[in-house]
Amino acid sequence: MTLILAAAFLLSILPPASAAEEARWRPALPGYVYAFPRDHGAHPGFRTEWWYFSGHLKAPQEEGGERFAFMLTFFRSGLRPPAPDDPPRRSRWALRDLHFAHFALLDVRAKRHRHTERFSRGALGEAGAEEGGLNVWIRDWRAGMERDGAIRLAAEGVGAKLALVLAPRKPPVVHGREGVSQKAEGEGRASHYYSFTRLAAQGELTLDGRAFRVEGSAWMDHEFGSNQLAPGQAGWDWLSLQLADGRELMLYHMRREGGGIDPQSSGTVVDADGRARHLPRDAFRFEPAGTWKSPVTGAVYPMGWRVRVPGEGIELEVRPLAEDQELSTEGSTRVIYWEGGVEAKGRWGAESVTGVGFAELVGYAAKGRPRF
Amino acid sequence: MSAPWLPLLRRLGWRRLRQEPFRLALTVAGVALGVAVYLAIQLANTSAVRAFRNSLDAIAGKTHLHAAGGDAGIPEELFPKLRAAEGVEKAAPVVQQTAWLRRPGPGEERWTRGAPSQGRAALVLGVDLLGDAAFRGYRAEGALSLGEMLERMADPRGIFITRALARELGVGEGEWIEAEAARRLRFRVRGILQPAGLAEAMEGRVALLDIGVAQEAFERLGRLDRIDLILKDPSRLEEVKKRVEALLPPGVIAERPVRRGEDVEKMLASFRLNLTVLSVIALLVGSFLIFNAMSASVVRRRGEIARLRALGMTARQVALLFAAEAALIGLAGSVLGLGLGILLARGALRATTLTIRNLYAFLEAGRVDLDPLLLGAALAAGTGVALLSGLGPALAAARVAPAEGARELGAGGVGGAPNSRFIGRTLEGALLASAAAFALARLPAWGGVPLAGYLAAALAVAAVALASPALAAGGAALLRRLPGRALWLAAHGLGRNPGRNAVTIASLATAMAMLASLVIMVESFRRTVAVWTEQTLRADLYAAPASRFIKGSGASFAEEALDRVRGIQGVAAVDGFRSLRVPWRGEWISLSAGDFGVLAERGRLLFTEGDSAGIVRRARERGEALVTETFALRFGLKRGDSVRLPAPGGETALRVAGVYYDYTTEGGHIVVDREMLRRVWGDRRLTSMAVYLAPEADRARVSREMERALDPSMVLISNAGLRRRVLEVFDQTFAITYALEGVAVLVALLGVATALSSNVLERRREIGVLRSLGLTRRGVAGAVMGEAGLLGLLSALLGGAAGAALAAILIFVINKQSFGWTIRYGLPWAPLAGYLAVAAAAAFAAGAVPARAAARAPIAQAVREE
Repeated sequence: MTLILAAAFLLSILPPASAAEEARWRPALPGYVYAFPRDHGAHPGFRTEWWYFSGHLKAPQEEGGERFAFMLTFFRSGLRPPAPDDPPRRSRWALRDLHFAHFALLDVRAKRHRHTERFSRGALGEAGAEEGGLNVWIRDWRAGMERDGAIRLAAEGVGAKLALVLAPRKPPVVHGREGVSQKAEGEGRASHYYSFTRLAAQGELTLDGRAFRVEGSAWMDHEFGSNQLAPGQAGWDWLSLQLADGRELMLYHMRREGGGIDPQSSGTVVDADGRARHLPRDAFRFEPAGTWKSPVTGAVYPMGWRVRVPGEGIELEVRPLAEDQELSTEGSTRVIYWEGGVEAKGRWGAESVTGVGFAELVGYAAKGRPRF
Repeated sequence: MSAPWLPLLRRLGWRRLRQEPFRLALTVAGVALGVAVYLAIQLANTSAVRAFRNSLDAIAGKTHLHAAGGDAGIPEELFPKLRAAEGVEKAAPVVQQTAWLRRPGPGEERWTRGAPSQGRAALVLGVDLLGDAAFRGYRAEGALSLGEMLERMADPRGIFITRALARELGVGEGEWIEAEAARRLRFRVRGILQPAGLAEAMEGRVALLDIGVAQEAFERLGRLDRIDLILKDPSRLEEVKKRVEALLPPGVIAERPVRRGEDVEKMLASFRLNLTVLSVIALLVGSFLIFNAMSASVVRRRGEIARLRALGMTARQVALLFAAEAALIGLAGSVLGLGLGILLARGALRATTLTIRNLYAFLEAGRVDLDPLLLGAALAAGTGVALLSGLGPALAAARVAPAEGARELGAGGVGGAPNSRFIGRTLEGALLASAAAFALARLPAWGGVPLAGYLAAALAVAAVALASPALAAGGAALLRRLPGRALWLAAHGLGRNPGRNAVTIASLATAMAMLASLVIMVESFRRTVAVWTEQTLRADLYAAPASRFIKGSGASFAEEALDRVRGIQGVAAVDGFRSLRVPWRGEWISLSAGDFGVLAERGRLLFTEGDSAGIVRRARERGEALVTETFALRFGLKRGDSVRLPAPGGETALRVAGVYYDYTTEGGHIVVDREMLRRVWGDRRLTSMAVYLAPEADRARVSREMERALDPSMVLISNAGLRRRVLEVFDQTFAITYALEGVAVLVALLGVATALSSNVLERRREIGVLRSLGLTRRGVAGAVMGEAGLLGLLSALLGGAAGAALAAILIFVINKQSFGWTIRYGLPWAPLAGYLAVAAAAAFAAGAVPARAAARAPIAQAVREE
């Protein structure tokens, strides 16, 4: 979902240079045929692309049983669509994309949230996103897929150092219909969006000098598109849940300025065996249960949700693991948003279920497009 | 001043203006010219230096420290290391290139045979705009955000140019421009920079590329020209500098960005001193003029002075009255001179800028900075010099006794009777000054400045002035023996007033001596250079990137071009030349390389000792270096010495195999075989090539094929064309010198005219008597003109002789110590005689106005005055 975050950022800094150039960006259109591992790699023809990882980790009981939630996202923002008559670029400074990355970590017991960010134009190989397979990095922050399909994550900062290996437990799930995840009315107002909804995580986390062996479960989103946001959209609420029974749920609301939910909002349910079903806007309800006001930015976020998917028999109460999981990304995307670990409790059909997940709340901070 | 004085001064002054408007006007004009050239030179120099410094400041931005490696650049891998260095807050990579920009022409025409004539020289900077905004300010038209600029700069053919360049090239956003550095390139203007920050450097001749585009366009892959650093704590610069230096490979240095400016300013200092000395001469010649005019005035008004004294005015008051008059004339002249100087400054700035561009560094300077300090100094100098020159005559006026009869005009005082003791004493002084000059000329430079040389030159000029009375008297004595009435009258006039005429001769002779010395020096230099080009430029064709015609451009091309040229039928040999600016001993030097094999076989260098082929061959075999004479002098090197140069693999020791004459750069070169440069420095690029043809080759065909084989931005020059170009640059450099000298002579000629017109006024009675005795008007005019001609002739002779001596001081002492060039002294008889003849003729012509006045004088009135 964070795609739109990057897009919002791009809209703020990069208004269309020329109609001709704008037209050269590839729109996300129905009929896109996915192929993996190719589609794990970068898609330079699209203007915006991101690789999002979040998850819940736990240290072994004998080491204290500490719980953590992490988020690590790499963004690629294309500056200019490649032109057929462009000369071949040979400089290691050649400017194609801007690269950003956000890293956040929540110490669940202490309810202490920390985040940091990176930004690079990718000169001298400092940052990049390879085509053909997953390999994105900014300096020593990296997400890359090994030959065996496992994904290695590495990030470090604000006293936290994370190194994880993520093993997919289910094949990638493509969201939306016909290979596109519509974000608003209109052709191309969409992205290509797929997820690894369940990855087994294992690795090491060093926090303020203390090292933990950790394991847990992670989620990956990969999304790419060119001009998915429509005018009049104010932000979005997004939720991903991994339930203890092996099923997953993803939902998003595109919020309109002046209130109201865009009819193109949607979701996906994934069964334990990996089969996925698209949820159109009217198939689910995703309602806030309370609010939280950020003491830093003054933004008032919805906090806690009631989720109903009548067709699936889903009824869930979702609560944040901590209220303060706000990110203020002054040094890169300059967007203020809330992105944090949540837990869920409720029923799926006849059975009672619990789960963990992540929520993303964008567009609640003070108005005024950031300029950079 | 006490009150009664002012009206008196006013009355006397007014009367003088009414009586002698012509002479007064000439005197004022003389001072004005002197002040004007002095001011123009100062303004031009300060403006040029300031423009240079401002440009450097704008280019450096907020940089505290930068790492640079000269033309070879620095490896880009250094960038992350420096950015991470302790104490470094921000780092910015820079690729910098001077290039010719122009609007694409209709065809693919090439700038052949000579310097590129179209296009604008501009500084093209490749930056990473993301990080660079912290270093240099940018503002693009259309209020583009940094992100928008960045997006446009991601265009691999996108360029930003300044508003000034857009206007000059006649292009707008979205249009294409051509840039020529080492290759011809096409860029699309993606944005226009407003005059702020970097865009104000070089008078707006600035273009901006993304660093990646710049690396590709200028074939600088993997290299940066500079890494600019902003420090966390600028007060700890030295500490951080040491830490940064520890990270740098050999051949890369860390320095403050102002260093480059200081270097160029240091180089400019000699140039500036020379011009200042020259401009002061015009001022001094102008002071002779005042002296002359005031003396004449004192003589003319002896009666008046006597009456004033009789009426109770003190001697002191009389002296003050005349001194005030001199100061007033000086002030009037200076004020006029200020205006004229400001007008002239634009031209002087253009000439100075051209010289700086030819000799030192790329510079654009179009605005004359009207520094009030300089204006004040010029005003003070003009008035002060006038006051000083008027002191002698004023004291003479004070000596006029109240009772003295006002009858005997033209006698006594400064303009007084022939005084053999005075003549003897001045002659002794002249000899003494000459001897002192001779002795001083043997002293070495003092702290890099040839102080003794300048003093010697000043003494030589003084000797000329001191020798003038004897010359005037001697000339008169000689002429009196010659037949002919008109000539006799002229000789009489000359002999009658030897004191004042001596001053006239002194001023004219001084100016002519300076002129002669410059003519001798410049012509000797020019001939030396011409002979040198003939002897050492042996190849038939030369090729270099167009931007090599911008000093310090650092443009280079890939050596593969050599092979393409070698393959052309009729080409016997090709010598690839590389010149690199590298740091050494805390200074930037030029490390060059040529193909010593080709050089030994076909080329030739003029060594201070030994034969070219032998030395070059040995240097090649033993891996030794050649240094230019200027380089040897700059670092105190001689044949056999060893120097240690930084190279990527560490220091390399080089023995100096020979010292040769070279007039291409001021700082000189150290030259090694190209094979060695490749091996030790890993450099595979070239800055120019020399092509030798087979005896039977068709030069036109080879040159056509070369044009096809080389990039269109390569300029091809024939041997004759290159030699012409060398002399063109030479002449441009000295154009301003000639202009200054011309002004000094002009001022001196004004002196001749005023001196003669005073003589005529004083001798009205005599002329009247002669006319009544039957001398025709023509005869009178002829006599006055004759006297003028005699003054001119004597001055030319004295000036010519003294100029020859002065030139020796300029060539062997001042030039050698300031610049280090060996100039072969030669007397250019024809131009020298020509200039002196013209000056003498002009003196003769300057007598025309007074001659007409003399001829028109009514006999009756003149005699009645008796």
